Amino acid sequence: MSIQITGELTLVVDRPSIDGQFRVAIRDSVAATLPHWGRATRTSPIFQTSAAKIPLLTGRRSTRVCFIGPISPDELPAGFNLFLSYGVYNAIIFAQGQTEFAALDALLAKLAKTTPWEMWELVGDKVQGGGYSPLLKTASSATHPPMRAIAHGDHLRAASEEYQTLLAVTRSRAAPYLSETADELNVLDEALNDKIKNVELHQVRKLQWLVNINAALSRFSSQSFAGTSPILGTECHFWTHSLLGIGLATKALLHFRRYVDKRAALAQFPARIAAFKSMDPVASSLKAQAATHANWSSLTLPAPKAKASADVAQLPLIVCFSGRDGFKSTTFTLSAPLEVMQSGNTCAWSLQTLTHELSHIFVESIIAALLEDDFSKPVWSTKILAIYNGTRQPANLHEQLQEFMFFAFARLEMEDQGKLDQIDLPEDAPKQLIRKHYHTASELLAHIFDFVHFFQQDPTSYVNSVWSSWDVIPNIESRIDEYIIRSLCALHYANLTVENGTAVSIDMLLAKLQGLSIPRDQYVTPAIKALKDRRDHFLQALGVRIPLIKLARAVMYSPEVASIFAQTRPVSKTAAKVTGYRAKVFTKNRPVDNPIRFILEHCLDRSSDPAKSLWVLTQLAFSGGADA
Amino acid sequence: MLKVDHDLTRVLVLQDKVGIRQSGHFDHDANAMSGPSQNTQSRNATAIEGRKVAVTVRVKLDPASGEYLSV
Repeated sequence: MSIQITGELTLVVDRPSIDGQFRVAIRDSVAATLPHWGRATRTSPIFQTSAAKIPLLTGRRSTRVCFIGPISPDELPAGFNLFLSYGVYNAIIFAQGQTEFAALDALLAKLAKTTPWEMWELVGDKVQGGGYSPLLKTASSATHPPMRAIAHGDHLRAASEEYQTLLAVTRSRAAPYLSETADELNVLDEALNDKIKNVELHQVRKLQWLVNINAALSRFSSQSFAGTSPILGTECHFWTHSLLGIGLATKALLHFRRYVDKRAALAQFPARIAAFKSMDPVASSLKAQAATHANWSSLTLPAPKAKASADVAQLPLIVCFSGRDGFKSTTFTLSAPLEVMQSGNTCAWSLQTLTHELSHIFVESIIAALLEDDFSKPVWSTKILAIYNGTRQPANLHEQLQEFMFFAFARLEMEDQGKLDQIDLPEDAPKQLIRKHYHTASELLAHIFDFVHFFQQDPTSYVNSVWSSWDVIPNIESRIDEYIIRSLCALHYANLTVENGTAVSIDMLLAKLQGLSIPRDQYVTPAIKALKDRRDHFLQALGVRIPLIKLARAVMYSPEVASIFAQTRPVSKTAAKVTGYRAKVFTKNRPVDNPIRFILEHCLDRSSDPAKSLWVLTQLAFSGGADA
Repeated sequence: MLKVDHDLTRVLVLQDKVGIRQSGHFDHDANAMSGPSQNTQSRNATAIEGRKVAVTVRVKLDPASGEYLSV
């Protein structure tokens, strides 16, 4: 059986007087609600399915409104007056008349041990009574550890108390709906507690972690669990979703992140970079050898060890949506813009951009493993310069790569100072260059990582994705050159050993930008003009960054991981015969097994389509089975 | 994402030395939505300090590959 989304409406709940009854209405849009908005008004978009009729809520007619979730729509039997939503209660069934009441009772009995629900009994449009799933009545409360004195000193006290309270709130509210998050929060809590004890780091740095975590956890909790039972007592401050929240969307984010997490565990980048320490350096200096040299073509990450460190937990990123942060990652958090709800079907707001944010985390861990902890000590700079000057031999390949990294950063400094052929540097230059150019370099490396692992080195989809997403960012006209260079570095990864590779990469970017069809684009047309008018400038800029791209090829590319992200597997023999998905249609036994490929294929629209966005998010929320 | 043992500690220590990334994809600095991002820019504008020359980095175009290599 298939369920198709056919239209969007707005579910409205209001209480005209403070001691009156709540009233329910279904309107065409939130705009139709605004003129009547009162102190207690709350709304959420709901989506009509092919079998649904808009119920009349008039007179003394009895209606039951049942909120069920989280549940994959294809798990619901046919014949119900079914609407879908972005809330954790993502399925809403309206029943009228004894036959429909009986069918609904039978369904709820079936779901008694698996899926929470809340039911309202209406007379006309007034909520007169209702009931809750046995799961909500019997679920035991989450247990919480006593308040820990994880913060020593006044600077951290308030943030620490807020954090621990937020953790308790989230654990409690998640238990009936997203119970799997409890274990993840425990891992986060233990890791954070451990790192806060690190006496080498300043308290203000720790305050920064707590502030980031608190902001994300607060958003996650309020967005996900507003609109859960009792619905009328839990308001979401994302006001167009104030009735039911957006828990389905955060569940989709969670599954996307978990999908990448599981595969990232296989990559073992830091451990593989550490393995360079037990490898001999190459015979002659890497900085004097072109990408075509045998030393470079044979220089790849050591193979991952089977089951290495399998018992060490991974830090689960707290996911949330944020209108202010948009797509952003920190070491502890991952956010996506609120626009995903309306426009997640478009290239501009597709969740595909999350792979760039996740790439930053991979890249940071790789650079940290390459530099190790001692790069800021004078002895480290002295060692690197001695290797560079040839007065000391690198002890191993790891040290040789550190020296090459210094050369790559020195090239950025040469460009900064306009001394492209030669530059004199002081004795602690390695440390200073890393501090100065780290963020520029890590941004370029994140683009390369994203391109080679998540985009499978496909220039068309990469250029389409990044330039479409940049096109909805305000005020970046002055940064177009920077964005061109980021794109060029990614594309050049595939052209490092090609004859006239830099020219080939520029022509490739130009062709891909000219092939984009962004209506009334802000930045693509100026970028094309810049590439044509100042071709030599970009040839030079790309040339300066080639050492960074070579470094990326040596230490950041894991063919095993790229191959896993490329795969899709048939879910069953039946599913293998089905070709593709139909937008806005839920078909039984068609879970998404590779969210990244799914998004790449289905979020290519130029115009917003909330119904399709809901379909994408719902597919992702229930994707992956055991993988999720 | 990161293993909670040394991998995470090493990243946090690195951030302590180089600072954290201030802006995400929806760039607040460009969007003039927040002030602290300015620090990132001023850090990048810092001149390399130190009078005594300890190393000279020279590059020369390698005609065969088109790359500028260290000499």
